[in-house]
Amino acid sequence: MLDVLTQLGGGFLAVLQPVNLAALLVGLVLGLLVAVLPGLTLVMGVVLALPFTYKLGITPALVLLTAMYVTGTYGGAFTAILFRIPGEPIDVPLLWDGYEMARNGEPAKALGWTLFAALAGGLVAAVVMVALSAPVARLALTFSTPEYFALVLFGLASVVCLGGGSLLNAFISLLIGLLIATVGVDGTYGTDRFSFGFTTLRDGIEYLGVMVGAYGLGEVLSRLERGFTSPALERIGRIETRLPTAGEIGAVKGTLARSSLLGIVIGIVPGAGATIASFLSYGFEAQYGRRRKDMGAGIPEGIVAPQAAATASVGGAIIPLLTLGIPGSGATAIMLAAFMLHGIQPGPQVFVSQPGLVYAIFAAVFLSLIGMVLIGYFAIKALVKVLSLREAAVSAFVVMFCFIGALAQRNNIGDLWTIVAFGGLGYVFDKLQFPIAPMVLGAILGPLAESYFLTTMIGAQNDWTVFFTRPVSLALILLSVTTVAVPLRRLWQRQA
Amino acid sequence: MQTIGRSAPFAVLLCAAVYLFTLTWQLDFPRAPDRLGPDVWPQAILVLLMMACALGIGRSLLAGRGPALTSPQAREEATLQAGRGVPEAPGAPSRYGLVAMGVLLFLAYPLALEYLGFLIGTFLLMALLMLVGQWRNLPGVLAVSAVGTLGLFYTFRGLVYVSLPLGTGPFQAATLWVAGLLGMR
Repeated sequence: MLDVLTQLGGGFLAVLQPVNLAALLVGLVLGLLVAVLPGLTLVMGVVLALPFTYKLGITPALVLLTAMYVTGTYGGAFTAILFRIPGEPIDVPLLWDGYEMARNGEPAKALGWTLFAALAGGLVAAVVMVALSAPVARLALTFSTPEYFALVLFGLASVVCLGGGSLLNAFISLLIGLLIATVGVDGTYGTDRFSFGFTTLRDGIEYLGVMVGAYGLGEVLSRLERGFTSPALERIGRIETRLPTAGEIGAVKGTLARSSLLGIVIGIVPGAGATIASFLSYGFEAQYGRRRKDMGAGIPEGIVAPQAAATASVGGAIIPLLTLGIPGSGATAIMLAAFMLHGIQPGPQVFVSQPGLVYAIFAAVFLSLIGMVLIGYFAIKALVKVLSLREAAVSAFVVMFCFIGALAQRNNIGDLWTIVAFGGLGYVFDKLQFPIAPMVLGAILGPLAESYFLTTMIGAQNDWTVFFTRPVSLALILLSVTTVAVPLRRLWQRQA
Repeated sequence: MQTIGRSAPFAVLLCAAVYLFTLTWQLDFPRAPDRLGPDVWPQAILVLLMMACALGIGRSLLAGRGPALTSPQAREEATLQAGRGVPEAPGAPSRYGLVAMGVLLFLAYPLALEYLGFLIGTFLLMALLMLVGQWRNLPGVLAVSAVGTLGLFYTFRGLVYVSLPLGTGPFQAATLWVAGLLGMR
């Protein structure tokens, strides 16, 4: 325990270094901005920021992305509560009680509750993250390739099943992502696969191009289809935040505890991020909470439940990313990509080889929560001003960030074609209601899955039962099967 | 007709998967009987993809009811799944012409970068995209494009040291002249 605290102290000192602190501040502001702007989602914002972290060291890069991730779960609450415009899907449940409380004449109080819930939920999750990560990493160090393959399989199964929407479409999206990852010269045999004679394809398709194109350009095309529109804002007089009193906080402590726990658990499960945490937590409170009958009428529980769970999911999602190398959410998938761009494979080995980096990320979560509260409290008026920006102008900048991001990677204009192609694919996916996240995760985790699978099979002389004879591997495979079977069963029941 | 439309994406994917599967037979690598080759992993993915597409086609043909989102709740759910913050306004018309123009602009940009350079190419892309996106205030569009282009150029060439394309001939000279004005080498 003392060792963990000492390392965490070292992490705080590392983040307080000028370069890292500057990265933290930039990340805080960017995270709040992307969360406030309805045209930009948290994941899209983190994707757009990723290419610009090449030139930074690994620590400031991850500090920046972590800060964006933490604040991105909170910033949209302002616009949801004040203008009934959810900046993020995460913030939709805040429309039901947060906006209602504001309409009842208490916007400052509603903003105070979100700020409190985000801070409290985030801090609880951050403490759990620090306490759990080292033991989980120690356990993961005993894993071999069959367990890792089973783990990646579980991650991919969760992404397909927990993302919502059509299971079949999500599965196809995942398979397309895995297929994209096979393009180019394979690492084991040096065999050229699906490059069709193009030199660019022989090097493989960079997952960064897949992410930036599908999330960035694809989203801009989808919005362009309706013509860029800007939201009509109500006139709000004084914008301020009034924090709840100790007595008021005491009355919602049960809700806070339940929501934080739910957020952490959902964050840990691969594929389920802040949005699912926010919705599930609100639903849980509406079904089992003490004041369930008043939910929707503008009560604090209806604000605390989704906001605490959404911010708590950040700490939860970072645990599997750092300890197992499996991203628990869309934003942590981008963080995984940031690690890999700097030549580091997250997983238990990172705790041995780069403990300073791990604890700097932990410290960044704590400091981001504090910074988020300060900016949220004092700069709220300036933040909501960005809503008056024209969507056409914001989209033009998003497109430029996508193109410059792709250029910055290798200074190769050819890479721009990749993001344009995946931008088109992202738009088509949107039209056909195929989710993008499974494809992106498939493109990122595909090479790992293939490598673990082939290494295991070679080691076991092609005996595939090896995946079922090792207890951890078997448990993970059963978990994957359950993850797929439960929603399938529900689907059949609904159809029957 | 609707059934065909619904099953068309699955059919196209199925054909592509079958074609790619045949390509895996032609992969060139030293084959050993007791060792899996580089063809096994893509083959496994493609078989699963073919099965999933066949299921999708079967479902479209048998179900007879599509995923058409008519209720506001269904539209909101779809919006959330797509990861957007704001549900679309009900009945907002789709303007595929705008999308086609957007795609054309994206395709033209890499070409423009090579010949016109970053400054002129970016200014044109930003201005045209905003105009295509129905922002009709021409002075506003031009001002945002000009300030945005110069801001991006200064930030990424001057501060982050990204090697942005300069263009060719007179365009290169113009880019270097602006760079000089901004105090960049």
